[in-house]
Amino acid sequence: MTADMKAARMREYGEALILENIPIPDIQPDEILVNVKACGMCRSDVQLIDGYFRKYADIPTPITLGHEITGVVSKVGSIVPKASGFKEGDHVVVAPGWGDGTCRHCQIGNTHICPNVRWPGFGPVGGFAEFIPAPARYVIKVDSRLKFEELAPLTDAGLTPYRGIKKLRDVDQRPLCRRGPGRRSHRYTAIPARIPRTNLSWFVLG
Amino acid sequence: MVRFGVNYTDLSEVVALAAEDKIRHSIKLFKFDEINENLDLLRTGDIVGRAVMKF
Repeated sequence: MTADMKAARMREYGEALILENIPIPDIQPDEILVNVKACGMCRSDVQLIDGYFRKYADIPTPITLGHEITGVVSKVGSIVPKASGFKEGDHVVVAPGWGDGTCRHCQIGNTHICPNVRWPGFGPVGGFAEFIPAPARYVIKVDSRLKFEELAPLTDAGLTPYRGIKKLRDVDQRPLCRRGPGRRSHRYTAIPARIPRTNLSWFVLG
Repeated sequence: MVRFGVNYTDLSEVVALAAEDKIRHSIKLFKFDEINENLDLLRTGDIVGRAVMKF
C-alpha cells in the first residue's frame, strides 16, 4: 500500500516551501509513526531556509521542515517494548534531538549533544507533514485533554527556557533576564512558578 | 557545531506542567497551506508568540 500525505518541503535553499503529496514514510522496527496534528514554526526553520546552518551542516534537499511536533500514534514498530504502552490513538509529543542512545551523553540523558544526534525537520522528516516516523524512545505520551496547538510549542519554545531555568533553580539570589521579544520570550513568565527558590526577574524589552 | 539544548526528561517535565494547567500560551494558529506566508511573517519579526500549524 502506498498512501500519500501532505508535506511542506524545501527543494532549494532560499526558496518557498513546496506543498506536495509524497508517500507516507515507512517506520523502522523501533519507531512510531506519528500522525501530526500540530507543528510549531521556529525561527530556526526560517534560518534553515535562509542557509544559516549550511556552514555547520549542509543538509541535502528536499527537507521536510518542522521540529515542534505533536499528534497521535498511528503505528507502533515491531520491537518497541510492550512496557512502553504505546497504542494507536495515543496523544504524544516528540522530543527533538534524537541521540544514538549508546554514547556517554545519551547514557545520562543528554541525547541532544550526542555526536550522532539527528533532528526531525533538519534531515529526518519533520512535522510540516501529516506523518512522521520517530524513534519510540523520543515519543512521550500526553494527557489527551491538552490542545495540540498548545503542546507543539512546548517541545522547543517552552522546553528550552525551562531547561535554562532548571539548571539555575537551586541557585539563590541569582537574577535572570532575557531580552525579547524573541522566539522564546513569550513563554517565560509562567514557568518560574514551579521554582520559587530562584530569584527570577523576567522582563521583555520592546 | 550548534548546540541545542533539549531532552526527553525536560520535555516530560514541561508537559507535566501543562497537564497541571501551569503554562500560559500566546499562539497564532495557521493552516498547512499558509506555511509560506507565516515563514515570511516570522522572517520579518511579525509573529507575536508562536505560530503553530494545525492540520
